[in-house]
Amino acid sequence: MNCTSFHKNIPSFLEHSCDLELEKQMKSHLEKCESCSLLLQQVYLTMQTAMEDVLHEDDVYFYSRLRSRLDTPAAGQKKFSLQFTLAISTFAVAASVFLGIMLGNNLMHYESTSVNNSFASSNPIASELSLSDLNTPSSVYYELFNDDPNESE
Amino acid sequence: MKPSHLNEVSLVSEILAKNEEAFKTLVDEFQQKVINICYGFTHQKEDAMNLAQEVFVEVYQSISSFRQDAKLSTWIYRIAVNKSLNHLRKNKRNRLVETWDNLFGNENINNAVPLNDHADKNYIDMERRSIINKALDSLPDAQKTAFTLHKLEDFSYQQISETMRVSVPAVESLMHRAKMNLQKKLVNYYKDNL
Repeated sequence: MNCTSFHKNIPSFLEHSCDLELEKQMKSHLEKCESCSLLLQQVYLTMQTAMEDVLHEDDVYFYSRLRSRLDTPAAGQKKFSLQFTLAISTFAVAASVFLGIMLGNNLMHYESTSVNNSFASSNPIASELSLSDLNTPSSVYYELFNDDPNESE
Repeated sequence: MKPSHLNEVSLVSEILAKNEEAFKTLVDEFQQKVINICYGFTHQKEDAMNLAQEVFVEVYQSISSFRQDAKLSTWIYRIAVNKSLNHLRKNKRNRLVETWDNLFGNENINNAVPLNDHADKNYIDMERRSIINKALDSLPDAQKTAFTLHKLEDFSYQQISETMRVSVPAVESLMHRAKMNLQKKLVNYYKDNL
């Protein structure tokens, strides 16, 4: 077994999950190779450090700090301001949509009025006619050509 | 004494009734475990203390939503794990700034001036902690969580499975993969730095 192969199998060796033959080869290599022995030792000790890294000291002021945090308005206000912001945002979106619809309706009404008005101002004959007359083709004909539809020829 | 189920029910009722003594009992019971859960993720004592405070603030504010379909401890530990993971995500950018060079300077550790035995051991422990914490931070969240919880006393695979909402075999698998991944990273590091 060479060092590369040894390095590759360190995790399974430490977890005792390699087969007996491989374990035998690993142990044999350890006896001959000082650098691999040191490497294995460092990996093992570092893993142990991880498992032992816990806090043991008791913080006697933990509850009093927690209590003052709960008693300050900021703890409740933060939650409240989030709800308030959401409510305001929802209302703003709804108001914008409503205003948009209202403006759109007004704009359409204005445009149809101004089209009629601009048509009337550019056509002197049409301008003498009222809007309701424009809707009656026979009356338009009569006005334009001075024909009395009731006269017989 | 750990609260039994019946005690838990009455403890929760008392807290809902704004009984301060009941809430203090709850904090005293779970404080150390919650701090160590947070410390397992943050690796910084101050951050762990602040996060643990936030956990209990949320417990206090959300106690009415505790459905008692799980143990009170499981519910509290879940909040601690979720808060810790969110904290890590928020600070991820800051953590990426740290490099191995920043941790060890330009000198090879083997060429450092030898210190007295006690200081040397503390220094070595500190360095090992830095190395393993870096490796832990690179694990996927599920493996990181399982490994962190497993470090704590009284945290059986059953308790871990309830906290993480996975089966016990899943916890065993996560632990195995976490250890294998950590060891691989350590081998790769020490190969070039011994």
